[in-house]
Amino acid sequence: MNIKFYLLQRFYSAIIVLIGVSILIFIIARIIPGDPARMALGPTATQEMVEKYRDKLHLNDPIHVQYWFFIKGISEGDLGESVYTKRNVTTDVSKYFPATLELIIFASLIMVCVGVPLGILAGRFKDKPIDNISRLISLLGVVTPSFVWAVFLMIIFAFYLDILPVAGRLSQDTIAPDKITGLIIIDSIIRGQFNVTVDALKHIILPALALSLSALGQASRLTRSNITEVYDKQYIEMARAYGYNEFKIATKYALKPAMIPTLTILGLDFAAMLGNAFLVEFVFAWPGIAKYGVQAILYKDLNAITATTMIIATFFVFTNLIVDLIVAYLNPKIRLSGIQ
Amino acid sequence: MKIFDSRAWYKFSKNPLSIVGLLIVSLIILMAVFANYLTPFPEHAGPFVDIPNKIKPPSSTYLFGTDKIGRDTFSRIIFGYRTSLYLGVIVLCIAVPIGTSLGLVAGYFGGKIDAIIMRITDIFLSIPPLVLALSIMAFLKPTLTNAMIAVSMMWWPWYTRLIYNLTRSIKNEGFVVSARIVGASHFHIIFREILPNCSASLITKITLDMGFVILIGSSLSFLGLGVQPPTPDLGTMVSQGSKYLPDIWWLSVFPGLAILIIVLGFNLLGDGLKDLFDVEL
Amino acid sequence: MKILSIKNLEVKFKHFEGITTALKKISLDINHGERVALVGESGSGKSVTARMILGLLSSSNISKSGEIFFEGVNLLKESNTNIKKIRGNEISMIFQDPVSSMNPYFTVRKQMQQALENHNQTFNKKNTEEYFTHLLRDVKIEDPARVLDSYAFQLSGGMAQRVMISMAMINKPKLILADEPTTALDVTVQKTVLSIMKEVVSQNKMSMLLISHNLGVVKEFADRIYVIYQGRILEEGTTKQIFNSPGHLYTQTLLQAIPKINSSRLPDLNTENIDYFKQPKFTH
Repeated sequence: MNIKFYLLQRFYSAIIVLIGVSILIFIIARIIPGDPARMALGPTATQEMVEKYRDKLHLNDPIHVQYWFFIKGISEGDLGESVYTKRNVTTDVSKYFPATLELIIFASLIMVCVGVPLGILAGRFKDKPIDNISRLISLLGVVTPSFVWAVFLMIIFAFYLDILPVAGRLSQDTIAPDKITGLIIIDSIIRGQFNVTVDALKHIILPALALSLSALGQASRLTRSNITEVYDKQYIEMARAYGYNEFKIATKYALKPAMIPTLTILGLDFAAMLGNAFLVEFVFAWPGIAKYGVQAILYKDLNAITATTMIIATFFVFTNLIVDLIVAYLNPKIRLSGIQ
Repeated sequence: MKIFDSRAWYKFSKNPLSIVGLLIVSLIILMAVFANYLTPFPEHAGPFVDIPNKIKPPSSTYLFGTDKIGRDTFSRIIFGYRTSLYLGVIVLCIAVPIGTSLGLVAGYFGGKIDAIIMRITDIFLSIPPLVLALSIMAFLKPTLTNAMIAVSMMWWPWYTRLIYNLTRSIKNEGFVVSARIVGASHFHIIFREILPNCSASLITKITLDMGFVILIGSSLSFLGLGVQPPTPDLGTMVSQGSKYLPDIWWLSVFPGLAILIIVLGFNLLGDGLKDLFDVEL
Repeated sequence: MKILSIKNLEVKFKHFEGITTALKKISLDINHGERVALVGESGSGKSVTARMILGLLSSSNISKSGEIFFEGVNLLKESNTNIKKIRGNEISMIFQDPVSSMNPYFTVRKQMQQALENHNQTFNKKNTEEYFTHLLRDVKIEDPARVLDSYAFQLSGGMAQRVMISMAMINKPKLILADEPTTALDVTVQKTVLSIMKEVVSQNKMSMLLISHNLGVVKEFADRIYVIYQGRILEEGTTKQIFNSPGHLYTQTLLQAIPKINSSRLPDLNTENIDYFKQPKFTH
């Protein structure tokens, strides 16, 4: 077994899983009782209209034919037409996805830059005050749903202190820069429109914070437990016996062994934030794919729901794959022998 | 098979946070079960309208204030706990047996069965939890029952994975091998040798999960995909209350805090059990 | 001239069930170039002794009294900064499990570089490669280049312990502490490692404190032996003296416990009879 074999194996797994996911989503959408066409068109539509729509959605065809159309559509980039917006779902999704991406990137930055150091401090100074404070914050992050955080943060910062805006990505009179990446903060920096950057930052901070707090708590706890575990190992005592000072141990010697297992979970959390984004986007009226998804659900928009779920699942699977590959590279045991 | 004895209790009680968790959970369960007798305004939990008393801030009569049609927030929160606990129990009653059985079978028999079951589990686990629940709820009418089904469907894979890993390591232990040599039936080995040794992990995970199921459930109802009014539900209350921010803050803040507290309670209790049994989840 | 002199060292651990005295006023001397063994069973306090020398047991639950003189300086009263200068530099330590002693994510070369870097401000990456190769050859490693590139999990126990020995020598220490260095190894490998240790130590005119529970190992290796039990030194003497005419009852029992081809059963240690062990220290 060597590393190449391992990589191929993981990639192959990922593809199989994605196929499985597509089947699963497909089944959910088609098998569950109720007529999607009827649900979409509403009670006022005539039976004729419903039938016509059913044909359009291929709902009267045998199930494997339907699946074939579904897969064909995906490979051509055509995810069907949205009942609600009447546009191609692909267009809609590509319009809204960057917003969500920006949000989860920001939230993940917070998770890593705040959660991990907090965990390191808590683990290093175990049972001292900093440990207890950090554990309290982590705990509160983990047990509170992101929408509750969203509401609390909104009340404190947007209403009570009135320093941050309540909704949207940009203030009403600010125009977004022309699209390069679709991430407003990056685009505005590239184009030198720094006032737009500031405005975008002001808008993103509350939703990103609400989104990150749960993952932050988890990251902090995990880092803490990994660091404590590493500090109990023989090679740390050995390092001390060779005169390493504590700071060097904490930053260079103990960090790598502790962080590598954490990395996997952090990657999972980054992808999982996509799920939680639904709630935060809803509260802060953030124009992202999650809000689009919720809308799709409320309007029983078959194609939109299927497409959104599929995209999110694909993103999740590939992020996991990339994280696995990074970990495989960093961990010499895997890198050199391909065994996990 | 004794898990709890006086020594265990002593060790558990050494950690003050675990005791706090136990107290919170016990208190909430008590309040929820006897809600009819303990709340000041039990009738507010159902269809009830009292316009003159609407939108009153917290006071001595209405501890957490009243809502737009005069219902007492405090009483509704207690009844909301009922819904949450009911959801948690039912979901786990469905997800745990399914997930555990699959994990036991896959881990014990190995081979093709293992491959198929774990593949399917992986597929379910490849969709972020909330997204899966949402896409199921998308096609169902938003009711409590349907929400329970949706959440159970996304929850069982976690148990399969946990029990699968446990089974794989336990099945090579001395006592299992000797049972096989003696000729014990598969059924006996799975349910009498392997499963009891998973009990510590199971109990801990179930306790922690109660909190998380309630959290997901409240997220679903926040989006309007769970329980429908007038049944009191914490997530729905936050959602409806958020429309009136910031002036009428008590309508969303208190239910939000209520969710926090119940999840916190189960989490502290679960963490205490985790330290006590010394399990890795 | 004594290089290490422990005088009346007493170490107590405080924990929620009370106080345990790990070392009850022990005294121990090592002369220049001498190989001294500290022999005892598990829990006798021998590992605590080694760690106290380097100050590796830093914890608020420890109370200590007595003196540990290293070249005339009392290590127990030295500041942390000064102790760090001594660790890995003038006094080195070798641990029981060599594979766990290495950071799993560092190559051998990196570990050795770090050990060197901690105590030498100026070092040149080119000469160090030569130096490391030389050190590895000293411990009879045939393929130093490959070993330098390896990670801990790629080395066998014996190989890893030899690497640890060479690493202990990096800063040319005056004293090496070895805590059960061969316990985790196969018997045949033990012999090899021991003889390498002996050669390396005597060639470089170093002193060594070998900690072990195995009198058989100690016999091949040590010049003088201290026998420790439950935190008290029960007997001290040269290897010849201890093996030919053991004074204390405990030492005699230990010797009887060494497996021989014609032995019948393990001797009984009558631990209930306290007077048995209150017998004063036997010095040859």
